[in-house]
Amino acid sequence: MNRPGFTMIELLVSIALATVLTAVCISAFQQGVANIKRTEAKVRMHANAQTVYAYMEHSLSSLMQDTAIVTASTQSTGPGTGDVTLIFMHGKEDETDWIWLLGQTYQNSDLQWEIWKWTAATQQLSVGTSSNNRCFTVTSSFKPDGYNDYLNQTFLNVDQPRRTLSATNPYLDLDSNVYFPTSATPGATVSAASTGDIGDWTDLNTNRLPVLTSVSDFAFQLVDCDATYTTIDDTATTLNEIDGCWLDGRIATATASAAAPNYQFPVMYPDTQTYFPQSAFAHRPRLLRVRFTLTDAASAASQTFSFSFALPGLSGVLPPDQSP
Amino acid sequence: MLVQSVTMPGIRSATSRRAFTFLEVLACLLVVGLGLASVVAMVYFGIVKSQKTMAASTAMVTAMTVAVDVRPFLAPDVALTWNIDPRYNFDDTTSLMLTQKAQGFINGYLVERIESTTKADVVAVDTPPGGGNPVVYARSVLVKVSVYTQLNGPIIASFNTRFVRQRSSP
Repeated sequence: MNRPGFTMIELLVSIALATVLTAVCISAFQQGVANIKRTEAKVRMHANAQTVYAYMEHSLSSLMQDTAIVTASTQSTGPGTGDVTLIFMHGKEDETDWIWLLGQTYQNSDLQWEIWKWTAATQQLSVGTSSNNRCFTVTSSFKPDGYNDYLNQTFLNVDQPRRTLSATNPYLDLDSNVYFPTSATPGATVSAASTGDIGDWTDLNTNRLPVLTSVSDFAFQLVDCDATYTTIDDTATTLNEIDGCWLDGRIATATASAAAPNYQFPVMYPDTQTYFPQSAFAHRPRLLRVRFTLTDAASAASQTFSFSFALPGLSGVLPPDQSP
Repeated sequence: MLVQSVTMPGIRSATSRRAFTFLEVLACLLVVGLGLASVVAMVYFGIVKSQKTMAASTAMVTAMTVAVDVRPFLAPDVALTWNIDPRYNFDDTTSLMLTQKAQGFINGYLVERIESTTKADVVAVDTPPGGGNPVVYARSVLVKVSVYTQLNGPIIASFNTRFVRQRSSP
């Protein structure tokens, strides 16, 4: 037979070329798929980061300027094993926005305690807001006028933005049921927390839900008006509490007493150097910096995000390198 | 019985069929290769477009972050890239417009921040009452932030803002 066909060399060359082409294409395809997965993960991370930014911006833009603020962090067995917590109050309390009904006045308030918590073990960032009122039942005998006992009676108490918290356990102080606080007297705790209370620490945590997963790192910085800042991360166990203050700048500290309450006006004469630094506002947080890292196990991609939020109040944070 | 083979018109018999030449096979491989290369190029085009979409998603909030904070809380691997010009003199009592420039990587972008300030409020606070050297108490600030995908890359977001910066201590 004299049938035309490939020689062995031609056949080998053809097979070799086809193999090289296939190998190159498979390799490029695999790289393309990996890049697509990585890009998809990055797009998802940026979208999630923007969600966190929007959520935090919404809360912090309505931050109650005179709120108490709690920051906490724990480290159980080394970095990456603890948690980071931020608690503050947002919303508004409008003393002029009230209704009159049956001889009583009712104050309107939409103040809410808000908690942000990152837990390293679950890599979850969760957020919770308390109910916008506090409802508690007096569990022990309480006779403010000396005659009527309010035992077992239930009260609705609007949240107070300025709540001085205990430095030892500020969380539990959120449970303190304060009876009709006034500007002259911060108020007296009339009842311990009970299970039926609304708007307390338990309620706040019940409402806490995860907003983001795969958060491998989370930390924030609170920057005061005088540019000093505190870093809160899970490299150490810390607990900081910043007392609330009055809108005019008065502040109550642990040294206050009935005889000499130290929430008096600070010296604010413009011809003295104590014009601003002595004001409580000078030492209120003015800027919140957040940093978190999102990871995607499937594509081994990760991205660290940094955001800063100007808190309501007097402007003027100087960068640390510009501090006088 | 003798069976006569029937040849259909237009169809060559197996014995007379002509095979591909080597040149034809190479040409075929070239066409297939070009096709595959086109597919791969389209895949990468899609990736690049996705990356550009990603780049635009958080660019604006990044610009807003840097606008309010010249020194964000950066990850350690990019913190060293953040470069801030030497501080300007907050107490400059002239009407000069002072500028400060900061630049660095944040959230996967290259960000440039230019701050221009001028005195806004001058108070004599040194020696009360009613005397002493004038001290600038507040400065009017204009901040312009530009966000780029990379060094010498196209700008993808820009944000301008104004505010008054008050001094925090004398």
